[in-house]
Amino acid sequence: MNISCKHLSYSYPGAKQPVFTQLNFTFECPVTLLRGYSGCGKSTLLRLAAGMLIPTNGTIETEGLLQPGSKEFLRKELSFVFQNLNLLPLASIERNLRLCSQISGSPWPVAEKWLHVLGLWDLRKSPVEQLSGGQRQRVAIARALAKEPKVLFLDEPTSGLDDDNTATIKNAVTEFTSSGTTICVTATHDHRLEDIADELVDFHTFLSLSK
Amino acid sequence: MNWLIFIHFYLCQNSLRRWFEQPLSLLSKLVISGLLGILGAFIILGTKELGKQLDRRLTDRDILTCIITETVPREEAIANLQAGVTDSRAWKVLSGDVMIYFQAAAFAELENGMRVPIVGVENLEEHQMIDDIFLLDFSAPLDQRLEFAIDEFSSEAFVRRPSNDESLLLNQRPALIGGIQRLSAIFNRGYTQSIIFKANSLEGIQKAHQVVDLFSKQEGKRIFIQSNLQVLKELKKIRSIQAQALVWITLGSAAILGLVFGSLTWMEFREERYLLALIRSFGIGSLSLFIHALVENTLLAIMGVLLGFFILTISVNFMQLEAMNMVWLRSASHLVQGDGLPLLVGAALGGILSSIPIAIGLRKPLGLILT
Repeated sequence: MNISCKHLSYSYPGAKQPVFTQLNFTFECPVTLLRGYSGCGKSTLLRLAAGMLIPTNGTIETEGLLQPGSKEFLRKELSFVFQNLNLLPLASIERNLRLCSQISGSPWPVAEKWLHVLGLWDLRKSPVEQLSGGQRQRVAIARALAKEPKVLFLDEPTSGLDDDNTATIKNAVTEFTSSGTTICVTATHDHRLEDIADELVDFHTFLSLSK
Repeated sequence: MNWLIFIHFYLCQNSLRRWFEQPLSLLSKLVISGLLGILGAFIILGTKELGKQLDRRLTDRDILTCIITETVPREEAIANLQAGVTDSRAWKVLSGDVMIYFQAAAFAELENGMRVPIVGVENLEEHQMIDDIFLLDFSAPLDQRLEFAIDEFSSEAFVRRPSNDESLLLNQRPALIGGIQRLSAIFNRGYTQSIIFKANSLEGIQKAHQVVDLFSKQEGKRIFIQSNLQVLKELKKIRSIQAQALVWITLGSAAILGLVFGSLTWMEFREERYLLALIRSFGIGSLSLFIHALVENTLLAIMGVLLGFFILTISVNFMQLEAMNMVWLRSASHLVQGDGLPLLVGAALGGILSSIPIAIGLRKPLGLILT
């Protein structure tokens, strides 16, 4: 099971410079950590690999997975935690998780398990808009894991979080990826996450070498 | 499918929150569509009243009735009556009611000295007559027997009231009426054939004109037609303008609502696009989200117009309509029952048009919205 980016180029609409050109990259290890400074293209690569951006050139091919960007891929195989979290603010934590479980078809007890692991069980009835930043981050992770995805993309999952919250998230991700049947890619510049990675990619260096 | 219900429930909840937080946007939509509803209602009710007045005038004037008059000289009259055939059958092909009368070129003198025209009919059954001679009179006592004389011949006639067609022909004057066979000696001197034709439509009148033209030009007959063809043509034009006005009202209201709602919706969408993109990132199709926006805009537009109708209906009760010469506004209560349908269709079209920006926005790649 892997996602291969072949000869990938991408320019944002109206931008003079492309983010990258002729990029070849394959996501296959259980946990890959893309490290690099802000704006080097880590998040863009994740969105391209998820099918949420259309590449200027090149292709994204998968093995053992549905086509990235397709409805079924988004519903059942991918969980994407964005930097801005993007939770449903009017719904409770439980509602946020239930929705994703129902869409993906994963059983509710899985979601309950992650609520416990991430310390959100007692807060499950609270509306998301009443939560702190750290709690919201954990809700976003719990929602992503409740889907039992085959592909988990985390974009700066611990930015701005204290060590306790970061540790909780690391534990959850480690537990989730322990079976080794999931592709987990984390784009971050947070060094605290390096010890959960099976493969560490310095994205800026990688781009320089691939030119 | 529970999740689809949840998504739509959530979007409804979100719409309510948006309306609560930004009431001006909601109010603008309702007020604009409401005002458009009132304005459109005035035009529709006014147009309808004009149509009703025209209908009344048409009914009063028997406007689809025409009278064709042909003068038949002595020689031709004798030939026609001897053969027992007049060209009256030619008129029966016209679609509508045809009644044919023959007016002799002679007069009868009543016992009181009054001279009255002599009218004959060919087919007694058609005219519901028995083979006798009657005096058509508007005022003389019924069933009275009056003596009359035509040249050397004298006899008695029963008084009866003229039918509508006969009244039209006689123009309020009394006349003697009987079968042309019985009165053939008089009709042999020549007669005037009058065809009262009640057409079913304007096209029927046009056809009658064509037949008259044909008889006049090709057969050289002395034949004339009196009809309201010109008036009917103008009325048809007015009706066509009315129909066009309704179409323009529908399209105009759709365009206005589409533009106003569209710009407001676009402003709202710029705030909502993160939420919609997030829902799309769960694998929910854009169509589902578009339908929600479409339903919201269409419902608001229709509700606004209905609100306008409601306000107008209530206001009418407090207005001095007679003094304002606007009694026709009383039918405002019928707007919801069908008269206001063009406006409601316009509002629905406007709702659909205003959702186009959403459809465009929903095509944007998720990765350009979600960060």
